[in-house]
Amino acid sequence: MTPRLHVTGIGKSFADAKALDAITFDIAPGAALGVLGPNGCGRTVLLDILSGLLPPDHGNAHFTDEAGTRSSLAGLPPQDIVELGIARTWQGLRLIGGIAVLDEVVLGAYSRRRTGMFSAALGLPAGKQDMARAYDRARQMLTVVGLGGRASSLADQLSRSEQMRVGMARALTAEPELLLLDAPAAGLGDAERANLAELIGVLCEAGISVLVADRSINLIARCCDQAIALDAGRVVATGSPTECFASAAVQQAYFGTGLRAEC
Amino acid sequence: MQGLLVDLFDQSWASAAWNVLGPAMPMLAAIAVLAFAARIAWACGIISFAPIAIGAIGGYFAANLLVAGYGLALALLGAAAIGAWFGLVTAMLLGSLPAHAQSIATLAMAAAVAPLSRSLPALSGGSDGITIAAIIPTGGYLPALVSLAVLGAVVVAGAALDNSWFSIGARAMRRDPALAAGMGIQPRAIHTASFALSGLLSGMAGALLVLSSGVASPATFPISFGFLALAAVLVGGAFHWAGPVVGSLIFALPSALLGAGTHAIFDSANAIVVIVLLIFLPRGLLDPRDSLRRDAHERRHRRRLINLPPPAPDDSHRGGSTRDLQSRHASRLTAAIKRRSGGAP
Repeated sequence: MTPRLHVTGIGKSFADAKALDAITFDIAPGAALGVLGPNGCGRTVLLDILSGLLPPDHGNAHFTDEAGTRSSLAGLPPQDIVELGIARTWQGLRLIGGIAVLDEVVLGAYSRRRTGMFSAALGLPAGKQDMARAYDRARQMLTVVGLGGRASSLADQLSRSEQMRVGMARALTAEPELLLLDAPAAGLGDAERANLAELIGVLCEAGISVLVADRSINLIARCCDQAIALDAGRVVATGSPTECFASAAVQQAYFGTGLRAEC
Repeated sequence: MQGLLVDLFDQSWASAAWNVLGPAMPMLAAIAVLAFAARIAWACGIISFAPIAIGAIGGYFAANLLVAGYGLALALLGAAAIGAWFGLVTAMLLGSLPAHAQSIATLAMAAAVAPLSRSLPALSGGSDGITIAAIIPTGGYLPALVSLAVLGAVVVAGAALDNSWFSIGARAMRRDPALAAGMGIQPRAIHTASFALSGLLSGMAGALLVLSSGVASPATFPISFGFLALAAVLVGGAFHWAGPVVGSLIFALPSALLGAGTHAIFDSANAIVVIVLLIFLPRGLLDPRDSLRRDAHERRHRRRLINLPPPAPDDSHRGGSTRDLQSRHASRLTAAIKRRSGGAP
């Protein structure tokens, strides 16, 4: 089967510091891949490169959509990558704040808009219909992530877990075929991580591929069949999440020399 | 037409209101439209003084068209068009600068209006300016009604624009440019569109200022109007489409009603009003967040009254509330949710 995302040899340095070194992996359609690693291992840099916010120094990534069209992500600006069908969430959530949850989520539909600002300013029916469609879609995605009753709440007044799901709903509103989740389990309790793992399972069942970049082995073991572990920008283990975490290199990256932990 | 308008206003209450408000209307409308122009640039995170600078260009252009006999409608349209063009040029010149540098650059533009207009007498009439009072008398019905119509159109378009992709994109760009880029928003396109639209409104506001005073001269477009427009946005409520109108009424109405002799008093009063309101209401008098808080409070109150349990958002994605999903993407998600909930114990 053609992978949804095929990443080959991606590397990135900042001055003399190597942030990523020859990262290679595939994600199949409807699969969840975990990217494990301690803080500073290069997870967010990898996601920034895949979403077009940072150019890689070398290597490339290819995205194959549902219709089988293969596109290179090299040199594409972020807006083109979103239009291809790759959306992301953010470490630290990055909600706009001060607005209703529904308004926060509808931002995700920006890349799917069909009209411009003048049709809105002139009150043309096409502009109104386009906005109505976007808001319908935002409401649907809020329901999918379990926040259907929170559409008119202020986003800043929600719990951390709910805010994380607002971020996911916002990304899903872009109708992605590949969703990149950056540290989604940060600040969540065990029950909330279980809910999140279940939601990621739902997305995979719906055919959406998910890349879960998190330091939480607990989350990745629950929702991913495959994982790669990063340390100092290099892949130090691949396989199932349990295999990855059991590897000596990962144990050392997480706990230092001489300590071991069970998954 | 003029006779009909005279009949309409030939009633005691109407003529009293007219006597008070009519002559002030072009000035009020001009300040409000300038404030709308400033709010559009502010939507992208730029504190812009360009509205008064571009307003001056629009005002001089409109005055020249009126003197050349093109009529008021063409003068207004011309002012709007040249304003939009200069807005576009400003966006192209300043677009790569950081927000604070753009603000200073627009302040420099506003400061350059008076010396430039004095040094270009062929276009601006020099220090004396271009008088249009002989063509359209100030204080009459026509300037007041035209100003009211322009303001009405700007308010309607402003409200519609507030619920548009432009507004959504600009909000994201202002709060978090990296997030905006990651969501597929092109910051440069939003910036350019906002300056062009702001320029269009500024040009019209400049033409209204000329209608208000009967002359296009350096004194018609003082830099203080740039500050007034920004203050009107901040005090009225930068996050609400009606904020510029409310702010303009607060700042421009008293001095317009009490006459020109009181301008100095109201400049001081305006400064105090701005400081006090910004301290106690930093998001302005109209804040959409307040209505969201009220709605949330009412929902909680209603729930208590009818003894309903609180919502359980964590479980709602398992239930059937996704029945009406329409798009293919959403349908697949719904099917996956149903499969999961069917298999759940």
